[in-house]
Amino acid sequence: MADNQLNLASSPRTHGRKYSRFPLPLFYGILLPLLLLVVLAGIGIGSTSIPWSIILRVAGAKLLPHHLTTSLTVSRSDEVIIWLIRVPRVIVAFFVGAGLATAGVIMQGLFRNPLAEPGIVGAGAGAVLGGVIAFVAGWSAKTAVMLPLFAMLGALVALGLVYLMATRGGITPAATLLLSGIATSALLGAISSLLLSINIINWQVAQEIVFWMMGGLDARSWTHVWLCAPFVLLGLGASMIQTRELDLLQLGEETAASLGVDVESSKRMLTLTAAVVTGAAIAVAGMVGFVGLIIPHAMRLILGPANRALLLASALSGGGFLVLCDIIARTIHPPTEIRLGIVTALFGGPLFIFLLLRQYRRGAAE
Amino acid sequence: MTISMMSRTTAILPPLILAALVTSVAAAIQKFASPPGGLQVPIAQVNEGDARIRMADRRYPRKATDSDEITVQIPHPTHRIVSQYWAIDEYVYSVVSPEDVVAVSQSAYVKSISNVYEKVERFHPVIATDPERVLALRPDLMLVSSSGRADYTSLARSSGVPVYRMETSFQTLAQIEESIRLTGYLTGNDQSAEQQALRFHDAIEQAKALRPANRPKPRILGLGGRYSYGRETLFQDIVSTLGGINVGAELGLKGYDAINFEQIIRADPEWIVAGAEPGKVKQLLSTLLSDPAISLTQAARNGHILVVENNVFLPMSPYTAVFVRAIAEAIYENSESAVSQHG
Amino acid sequence: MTTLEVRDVSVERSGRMILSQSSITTQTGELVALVGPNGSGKSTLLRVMAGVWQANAGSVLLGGQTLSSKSRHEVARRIALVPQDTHVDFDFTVGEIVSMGRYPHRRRFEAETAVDRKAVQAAARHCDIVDLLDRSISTLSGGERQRALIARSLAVQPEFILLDEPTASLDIEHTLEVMELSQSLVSAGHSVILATHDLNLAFRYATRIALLHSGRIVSNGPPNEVLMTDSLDKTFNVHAERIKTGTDSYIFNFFSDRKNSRFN
Repeated sequence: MADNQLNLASSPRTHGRKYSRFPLPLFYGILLPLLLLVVLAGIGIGSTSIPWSIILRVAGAKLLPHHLTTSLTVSRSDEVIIWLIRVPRVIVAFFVGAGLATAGVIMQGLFRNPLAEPGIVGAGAGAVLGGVIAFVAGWSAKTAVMLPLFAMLGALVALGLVYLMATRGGITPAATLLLSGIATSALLGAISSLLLSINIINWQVAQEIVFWMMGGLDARSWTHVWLCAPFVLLGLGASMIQTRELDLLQLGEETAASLGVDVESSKRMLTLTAAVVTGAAIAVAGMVGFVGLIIPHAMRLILGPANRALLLASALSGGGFLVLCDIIARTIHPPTEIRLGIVTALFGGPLFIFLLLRQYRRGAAE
Repeated sequence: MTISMMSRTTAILPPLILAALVTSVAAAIQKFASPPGGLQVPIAQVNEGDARIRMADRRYPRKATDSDEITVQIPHPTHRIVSQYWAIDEYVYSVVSPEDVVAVSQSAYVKSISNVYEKVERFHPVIATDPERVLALRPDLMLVSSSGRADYTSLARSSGVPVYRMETSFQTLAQIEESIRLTGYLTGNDQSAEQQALRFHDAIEQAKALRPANRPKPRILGLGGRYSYGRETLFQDIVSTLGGINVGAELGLKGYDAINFEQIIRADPEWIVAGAEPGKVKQLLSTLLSDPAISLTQAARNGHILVVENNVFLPMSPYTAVFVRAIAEAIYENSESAVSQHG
Repeated sequence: MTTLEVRDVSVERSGRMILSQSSITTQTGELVALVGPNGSGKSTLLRVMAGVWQANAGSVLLGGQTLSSKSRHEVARRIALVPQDTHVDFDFTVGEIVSMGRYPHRRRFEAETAVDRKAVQAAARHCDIVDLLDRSISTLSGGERQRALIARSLAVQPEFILLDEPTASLDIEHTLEVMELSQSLVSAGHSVILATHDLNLAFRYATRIALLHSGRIVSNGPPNEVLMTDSLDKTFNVHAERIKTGTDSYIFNFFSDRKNSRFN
């Protein structure tokens, strides 16, 4: 082997900097306690103050086997507030954040662009339109399941359309997919605005639509948990299985193909996963932006771009981040709640600009 | 060759699907659009007497069937009542003693549209938008609108509090009267409700009586911005009760729908009734008079424009009686360029 | 000694024939250069040979068996491709990228094995990038990056390494580096097939040249025989001059066809 080794000196232009990444165990050692803290804060903070002794009693009554807790007495309203209002809300916030972050990682990997975000293939706009249709037709007033159901359907239909438009001869080039996604998002957004404007005179419905579009977790219940969590977990699982394909796709589709990846099948699988997860998140929380953009980016800076570590870390951080944003949304100006999308935008906007500039500076330097 | 032809067809398909989607959505909107008073739910019609049919016997525990077809059980007369909708606030306050109202809608505190402002300012009920706060009050009855958010309702129901979904979009005065009685039944204030219902009924009758015999039917147009009230609206019922012709219905409008320039001129109403924010009544009047379409109508030329404050204009609650009275007085008692200042 | 044979392959995209009825056979131990003007089908031919693109007609045979009869992973283990577009948007380390070459050797949930690590190290040593393994790929210079990507393809331990314009954006020093690296790969027992614009490089380093023009392989053989001035004239639409050098080699010089010149 030594004879074949070429003795080439390293180019004097290269920097000597060694690339170091945050060690994973340390990262989780910091993240998991923080996550726990945030979740507890989410349960402990609310518009009525309930002491922790009562919260623990409710948790005990609900989680421990019955015979151990017969002596615990909790008032019905405390039980309802903790178990039917706060806990599901925090859980939904967590899964929505986790889902959006996961979808963000997939989209950024698939399109090889750190500025991609979950809704980029039209799933977001589709989900919003689905929800708007449910509001406007009055179906959302009937049962709590209608709105999320329509949002999910909207996301899937939009994705289907985008894919159909972008595929030729069984091949969907990423660039075409992206453009179709952007165009479809614009079109579906226009339809949503049209519906909103037609119904603007029905101020109650219009208000509900606008608030929903700004994102929010008010009146979330266990129904929403069951509507969202399974999809997010499925999506996370599906993407964890595909981490190597996702890594390889970042080298380019041809390289990935030559390394044995079924590129078209992986792309379909990954976009579908991202769309389902995004749809589920928007279905229960409305349009919450920036989570899917910022969290993967931040995690990549800390842990590097290898998707195996990135996916789970992004999901957990995304979940914690959104729980935190929800706490802020609830507490910053009581009793009114600030819409969740506004809080994430206030965090995410400046961060996004910063990343954009950084990208620009790095690009200019190359 | 065939492959490229096929791919060209597949290329056309998605835009076609999108076009079909837009068209069907637009068609759906047309079908469902313009319900009375601005609520967008294709609900079953609440017919006269329905509320009574839905009320069972007066012994406790009482049962009533709500707009979701759910039979709600009320174990005892209620003293901690939550109203989640502005119209329901008005029903509740007209029938129930104010200390018993623990939460109201957000609109109750908005002076420009609330008919119960003084009451809420005095008794400070909680605003019912936050489920946590509402449930912390340990209410014994929650009244929500049939068009309110389903997730809020299901959350409240799962908390074990009796939640009754009331119809809140009405098309007749008789329905309002029934709802007064329904409110009484639900809250256990039957006598008070009966009194209020009768008072409401009498007020309407008195307003009707203001019409001189043999007076030709006045042609009245209700105006909300560039929208008017067609058939199957409460306004229609009010106008026909007062012996008038609803120009909106005449123009073929159904429900609350847009009306344009030409239609207004062609219709040439004798009277125009509109609502304004408190303090902005005179302003709206002059805006209307200088509107290119409206200024050409008989109503404008004769100064027959009635502008009332928004909380008088179509509240769809017992307070509707005030509105009916205002119209009757304006039209039949010939008050000068009637500008109503009472709220 | 394995053969990679392209037999009568035609490729059509968007109604255009990019390759028509092309045939070429390569064996391990050869350095084959594909030359020809833009659009002649060099990249397409490489993609078809790697099994990345499907041909509309004809077949590609590896060791006598068609690629389609083999599993994706088997083809990937034996033929590696380094395409032209090599931009990586994220900060993978060089080590991570070279390790990605081991993908065809592992099953889905299999962790990295000692065999994998050895292959990566060997590839890194061969391409002289061992001290770059911990660096981020985006901090590498053009030449270093190309060596890293070749190392990635080498980590696959393939029989055939296909390089699409590996020296296109490199300066002279690094161009020669890459060509010498390619030669060393051939000495180590692989076969290298590269597409290039540079005829002089092709002449110097290739053991065989295939000249492409408008989707067809016009000639195929030793450099001396293929790069004849008359075929160059016809293929590139120029006036080619072949000059003997002092080291008993040839270099090529080109003039535009004066008679049909657009300017002057």
